[in-house]
Amino acid sequence: MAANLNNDISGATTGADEIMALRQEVTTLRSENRRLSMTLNLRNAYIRDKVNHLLNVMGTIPLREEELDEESIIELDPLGIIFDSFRHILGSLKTKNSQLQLLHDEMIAVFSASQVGIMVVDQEFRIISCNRRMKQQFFRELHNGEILGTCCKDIVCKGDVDDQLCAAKRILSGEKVASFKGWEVRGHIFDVEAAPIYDAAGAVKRIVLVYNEITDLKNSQKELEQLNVGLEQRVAERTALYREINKELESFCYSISHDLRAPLRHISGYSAILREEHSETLDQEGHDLLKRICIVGDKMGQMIDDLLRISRVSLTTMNFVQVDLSAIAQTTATMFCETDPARKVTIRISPGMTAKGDVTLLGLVIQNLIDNAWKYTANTGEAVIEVGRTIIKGSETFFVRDNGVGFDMAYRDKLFRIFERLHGQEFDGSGIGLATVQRIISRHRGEVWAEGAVGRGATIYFTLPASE
Amino acid sequence: MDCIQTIKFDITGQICPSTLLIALREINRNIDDLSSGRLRLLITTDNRDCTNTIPEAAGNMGLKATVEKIDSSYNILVSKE
Repeated sequence: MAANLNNDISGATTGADEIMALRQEVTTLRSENRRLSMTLNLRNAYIRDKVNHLLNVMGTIPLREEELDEESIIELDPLGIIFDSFRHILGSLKTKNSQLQLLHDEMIAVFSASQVGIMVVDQEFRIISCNRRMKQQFFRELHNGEILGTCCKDIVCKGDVDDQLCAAKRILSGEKVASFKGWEVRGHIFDVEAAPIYDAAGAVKRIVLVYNEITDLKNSQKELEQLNVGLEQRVAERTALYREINKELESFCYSISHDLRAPLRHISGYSAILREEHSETLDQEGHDLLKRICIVGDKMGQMIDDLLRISRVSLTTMNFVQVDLSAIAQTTATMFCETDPARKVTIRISPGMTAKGDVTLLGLVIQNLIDNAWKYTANTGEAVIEVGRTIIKGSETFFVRDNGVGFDMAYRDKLFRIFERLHGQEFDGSGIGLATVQRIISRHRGEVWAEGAVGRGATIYFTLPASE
Repeated sequence: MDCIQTIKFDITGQICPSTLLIALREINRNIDDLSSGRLRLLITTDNRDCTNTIPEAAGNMGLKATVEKIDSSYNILVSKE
């Protein structure tokens, strides 16, 4: 019994101790719990602060209190999202940096290798950078340390250039591009271009100036201009000389032609006397020879007359007036139709054709060309002659076209030679018409040319530049 | 011709910074397909602030974002630059 009581007392003591111990442990645990909660709260506050900082960097507002309790942090994982985003941003920036570096290297290579001087200045005109060519052109003797940071006015134009011709100033005053051709400084000539580099706010941060030296080019141009003046002078002198010689030749031709007529008249006269007074003393052969002498004499007379006519064309003093070519063509066509009414020829004349020139000589041109067309359509069933105007290579060009026998283009140059004929005796003429036309057009500083084909007609074109 | 897939997200009702975080989470998940041009993200939101933040973040990641206003909402299309 006593043992049991002792046991009970002993058991009670032990239970009290255990309770005490448990209470002590609870107290300790509570204390630890408070400490841990405080630590956790501090960490949460730290995380919230860092997340908000990062969100601020991303340009947005901080997380609200209710969005950042413990569960939300795990569920939304803002740190993880932002971390991944920054990782991707860094990757992208790295790629862009590589591309920019390559671009930068390319630009430096172009900058260095450029054969024009390039200089970059700030708003105060201090030199930020310049290439090798720029140094060669303006400050060969200076080192980089003496160039960079120096005002460009002190080492480029050195105050020798008027402010109005300062390209950098023009850019600062708001121009997008400033450009000066033939900018001169100390005996050197440049084409200068300037352009601005803007900052993010749109203000001019830098100015790029490009100096392309054209001194040699300008000197060559001056020499060339002087040479051209000399050349033009020589051409004018030669032209005057050739005109004088040509005039003398024409006068000579006129004199010869005129002088030949007298002996020819004598030959014809003596032949007539021989035929009329000594006819009975001539045998048949004598008569035939006399007849031939008369025929070739007439032919020679015709040729002399032609030569005189063409000489007059070259020697006539020209009087330039406005000439109505349509009216001349109409009068000429009517004359041909009335002279040979048996012919059925359709003649089309464009109205309103006028040109500046000598009215008599241009009348001869139209008359000769229509005469040619009339002649070479003699064997054409439905003859058509057209006098008109067109534009060739930008120039007003007149033409006379027919559908007659035409000609072989291989001989087109012979058409305009004096006494040259492409056709035989079946067509009248001495080969003087187109030669006359060419001389008259040439005297008007114009051009004349022919186009055609055998059996398919011919077209004679001519220009009269004085009209333009 | 390769077909470009478009994933649509409607985050109407969400406000900053959740809209940005959700958009970033989806961009992060699909960054490879977005960068290669195989995929586009179409985000519909009524939060005006994120019409600036999302395109800026996408641009920094080497992507392109265009914003279109439709009635009271905005369609933000994120795609290859």
